[in-house]
Amino acid sequence: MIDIRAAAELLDFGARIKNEQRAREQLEGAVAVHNLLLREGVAYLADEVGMGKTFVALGAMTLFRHFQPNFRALIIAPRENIQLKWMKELGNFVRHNVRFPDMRVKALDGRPVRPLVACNNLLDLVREVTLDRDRDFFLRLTSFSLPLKGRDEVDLGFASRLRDGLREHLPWLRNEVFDLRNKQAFKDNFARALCCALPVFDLVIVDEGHNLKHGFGENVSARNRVLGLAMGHPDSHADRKLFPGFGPRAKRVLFLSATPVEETYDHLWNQLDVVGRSSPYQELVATDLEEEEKKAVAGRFLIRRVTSIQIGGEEHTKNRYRREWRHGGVHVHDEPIHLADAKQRLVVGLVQKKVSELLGDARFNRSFQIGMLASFESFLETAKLKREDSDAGNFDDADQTDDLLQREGIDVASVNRLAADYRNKFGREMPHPKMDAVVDALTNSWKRGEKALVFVRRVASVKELKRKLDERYDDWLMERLRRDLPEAVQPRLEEVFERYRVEKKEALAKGRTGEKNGRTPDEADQGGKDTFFAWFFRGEGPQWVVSGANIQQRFKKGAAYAAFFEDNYVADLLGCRPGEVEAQLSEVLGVPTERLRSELRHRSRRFLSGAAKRHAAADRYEAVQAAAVEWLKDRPGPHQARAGIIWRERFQYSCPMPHASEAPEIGDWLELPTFFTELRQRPKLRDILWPAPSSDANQVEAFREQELRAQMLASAARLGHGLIDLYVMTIGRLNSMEPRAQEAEGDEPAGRVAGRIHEYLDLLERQKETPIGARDWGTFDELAEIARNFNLILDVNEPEARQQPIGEAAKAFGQLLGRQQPVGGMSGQVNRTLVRQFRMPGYPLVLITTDVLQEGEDLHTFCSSVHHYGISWTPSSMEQRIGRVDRVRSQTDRRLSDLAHGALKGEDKLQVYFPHLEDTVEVLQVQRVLERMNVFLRLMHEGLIMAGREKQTISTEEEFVRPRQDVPQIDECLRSAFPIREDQVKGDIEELAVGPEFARDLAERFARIKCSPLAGLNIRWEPSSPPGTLLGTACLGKRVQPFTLLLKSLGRDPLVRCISPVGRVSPHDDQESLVTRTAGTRAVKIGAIETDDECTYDLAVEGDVLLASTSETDAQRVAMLINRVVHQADSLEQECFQDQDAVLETFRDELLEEGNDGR
Amino acid sequence: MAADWLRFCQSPDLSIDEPYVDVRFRDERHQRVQVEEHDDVYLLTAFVARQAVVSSLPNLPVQAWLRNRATQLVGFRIDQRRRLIGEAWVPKAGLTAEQFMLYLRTVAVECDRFEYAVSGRDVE
Repeated sequence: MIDIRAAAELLDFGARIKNEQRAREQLEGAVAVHNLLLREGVAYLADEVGMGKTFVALGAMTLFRHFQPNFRALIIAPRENIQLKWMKELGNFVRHNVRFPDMRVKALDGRPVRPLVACNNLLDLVREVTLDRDRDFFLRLTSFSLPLKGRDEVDLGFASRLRDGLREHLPWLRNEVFDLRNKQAFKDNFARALCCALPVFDLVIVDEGHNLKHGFGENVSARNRVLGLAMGHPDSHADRKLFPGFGPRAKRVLFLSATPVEETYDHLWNQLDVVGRSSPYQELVATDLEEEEKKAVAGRFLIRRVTSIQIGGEEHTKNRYRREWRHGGVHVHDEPIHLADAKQRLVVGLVQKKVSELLGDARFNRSFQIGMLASFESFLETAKLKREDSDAGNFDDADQTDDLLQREGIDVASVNRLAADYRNKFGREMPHPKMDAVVDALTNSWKRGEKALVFVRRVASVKELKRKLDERYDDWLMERLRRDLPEAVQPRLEEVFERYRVEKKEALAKGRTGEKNGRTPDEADQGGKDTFFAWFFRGEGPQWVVSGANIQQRFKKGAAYAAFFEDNYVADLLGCRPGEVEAQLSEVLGVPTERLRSELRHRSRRFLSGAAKRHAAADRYEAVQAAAVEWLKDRPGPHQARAGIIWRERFQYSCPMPHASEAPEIGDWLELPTFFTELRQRPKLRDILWPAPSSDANQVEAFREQELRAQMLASAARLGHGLIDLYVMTIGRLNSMEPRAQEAEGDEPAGRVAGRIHEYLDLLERQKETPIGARDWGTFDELAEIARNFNLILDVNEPEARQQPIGEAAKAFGQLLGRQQPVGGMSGQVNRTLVRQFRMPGYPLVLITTDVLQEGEDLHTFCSSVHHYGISWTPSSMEQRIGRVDRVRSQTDRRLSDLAHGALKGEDKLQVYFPHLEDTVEVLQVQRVLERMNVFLRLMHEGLIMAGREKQTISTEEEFVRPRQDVPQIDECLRSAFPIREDQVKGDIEELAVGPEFARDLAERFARIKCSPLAGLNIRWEPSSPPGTLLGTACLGKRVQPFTLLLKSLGRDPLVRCISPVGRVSPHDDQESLVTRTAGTRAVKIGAIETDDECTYDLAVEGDVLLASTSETDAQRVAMLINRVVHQADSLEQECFQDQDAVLETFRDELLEEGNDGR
Repeated sequence: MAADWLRFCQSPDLSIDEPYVDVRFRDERHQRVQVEEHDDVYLLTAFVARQAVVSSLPNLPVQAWLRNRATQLVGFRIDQRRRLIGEAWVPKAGLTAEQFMLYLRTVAVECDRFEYAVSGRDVE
């Protein structure tokens, strides 16, 4: 057992959250989980949603691996997006929260020591563990479903692919393993065979473990069975002749879920049983045990903490800082939705009559599945399901029921008939008061910049709600443009609107308004017709006017306004204003102006492309800036050091190949004012939008932060809501929308450029001074919010940006913020771009989603409002949904933590809406779910006892006679029944296995290899390499052989690996001749690289050697290693490519990547 | 005087049958490793699969080379008799019993694992 003091020396949970209490809780959690796993072999971390369970689990895993470097882990996430999130978080955790490289968890370069492997399916897993099992594997639970077409029998094509895939890695599997006559038997045996391929994992983490609550058995989902059998379930009945080596594959199992049970302790036992861990906790399913006794049993392996925010010295648990709108309304708290007129009341009454009649039908026994009546969400047509497709459904999470009619929605046919009749009679869609009220309430989003997350159950509701909101957005945007654009362009503007309406109508008729799905961020933005913003401000835009898209293009790299959002680095470096730069530079460099200009012109050609016939203004600006900064970094003096930093971070990689042979005159490019030079002149505005980096940061970090902030601001300003302001300003200056008016602009004088910048900054100042309410949400608000939360945005969306070259980070920001849409819709699969954008201020302001986003995805950073438009039937699902926005560092968390004192006002809280109509059947289901949520809350916090099995259906016969009563929100402070006990964080291990000096000394030893005499070798070392890497070229007589050395570890022992590339050989195609060539060479270790990418080598010779406990023999051991590897590689190169003798430069980039292997 | 490597192999899971060492694993599987002494190094070799198995699996050489990218200390290749073998060089400079046994066990474990993957058996 580890002691928390030792753990604290290794783990720093406060590194990024900057909240001591939370950091302490997470550390305690990691230690307690570690110790529980050691003692029980199983642990359940059931902390409330949003408390950072992933990080706590990673902390526990880190503690294990630090003391046991060979510790093998498998992480099972519920679905792909969460699987990828785990991988991202592991990288973040190791970099930020593990205090020092220990060569066990954290490598010298700050990344995980063990490579990370994402497995897309079970065959992937088999392949990867067969190749190298000592990596961290990330799977998704859905992979265990093992979809096979066919109802009972197995689809032959599917099954053959699975069988052959498995046999590729386990060729000895016998034919009788694969019984194609029975789906269940086929899956079971596939899982048993999978078990044979897997190593024993020291830890298996099952994220969102409640998904397994129905357990392991004959009649549960195939997913649970396949997982259980793959983990070597004791009740597997595996034939040892067919499945040699079958047995338990998880030494320890950690479950994570904020909602570990729904109704009974059986659920907890069931989850343990799937992974064969239930037998010590048999009391959980005993029928003769009191609930309190079962609670004690659960307490042996389960931990749960509740989150709270201190406001004015008073503790507020989540139920106290959430405001639930339980009466159904969305405009005024605690009021229902008011039906606007008699027609609406009549329509609602008619639909209720139909639904009641339907429920009275003998087939439905006066009951319905919660959340699965289509009419609660929409009166628009709902698709009929195909009878032969047993997995389909009109509602997300259709697994709730096996009844096809329920999956379709039992009221679908009736509502469709009514809707069609209404449409025929009145020529428009039947009004749906709930949908209209919600749309109406959400229309404020783009006026106030407030985000909202809307969950629906009926899949088609996503499109319908989005379409209605898009229409409202269009109304707002068109009105805004009419109001703000000059009188002279109004007729043209109306023509533009009319053209959009026509094109949108055509697109709607064809059922195509948005961009096609599945586009990669690299592909050009096609715009779309779902909103006027998409049509006019994105993609190509209409060509016959100056469109928003056209203006946006002009701010792109290489275009007319590209320098607008640049910085004048030379002016900043010299501490002068644009207009004074040339004189100042001339003085600092000690050269007369004429020579300065001609020398700069000469130098700048290296930064201009040789392929371009004419260089764009922004490119010339960039080239002159680069040339001047380069000159300053080469000239000793007060500016040299900083110029060196700017050069390396900003310009070093700007040299195009081939470069221009001659450059144009440098003109006035040194003197160009830009947005950022002028922003510096407005200190108050700058502090808000582009704050100077902290004085604690070193100069490199400070410059990088300043640059990254600038790049993100520029991307946000030109790609999202802010583009509207830029457009209005530009058209205002042109006083025309005609393309020819813009063509007149080219190389503008600095004064005109400055005018445009100041006009823009004045606009931002005005927005700053005017409170929202007196104006609409605007560019200033978006940029200020980005600036205020810049580090949080990087953490959640672009953590790699901190290490990337600035140019790559800028490109990543452009991709992150490209293709923005005011209202996003998601169903079926996760749209990564939309999710990442929702984690930022600005578009999308409303995100409508099915349950596809219910678990795992963080959406909390700028959203404090959740709408349960379509209700979920389990309290845990409702809690998971709210948990998307109620998390550590959420907008609510930040806002409330900043409140010094005073009573918490309703509007300050996190808003949770349950939109529904009173006097309809819907109220019954909301009431039921709210009651269950209250029970759930009480039970989870005072114990996990459930009063009885809750039904997932509503019986209208029972409910209609039950007296209606409000279900109030629980207001008392919550208290966990499973807190961490003191003994769980105490242990006999009080010291770490190694301290920071271990890796430091090792790195020094490794670096000394370069300076040591290496017997029999003549090596040209590269002057610099990344940490833990040495690049060199061995001179072998007249030939050369490049290689890289990597410092690694094998368990507790340091190890050096040598890799020397041979070239592109295509080992698959040339296998036989390679076998022949190497058969006689003793202990040659050939490495083949399988990749679809272009690469300079796919064959290398490799080797490793352990380093001794002291450094005396390092040089001798490593020399022998290099000698052997480079000679073998050179021989192979000569045999494979007769006249070739490739140099290091050929392979450099890929050799540098060798140290990264998937981390 | 006995060779150093014989003195190094003092562990209950190792039994010596010069020039071989039998390495027994906890799951009752075992692997035989040959120790060959040279001036500055030992060469450890273990068999993974015999010629018949190699011939029946046409993709096996590439599988071995892919595996070589990942495994540490051990390298796999097809030898002149078309058998699949695993090998490791062990430098004598500064070598301790602990490190020698680490090399030895690594060769045994990796070869045993590969053997299981290609044949499902424990023969070599």
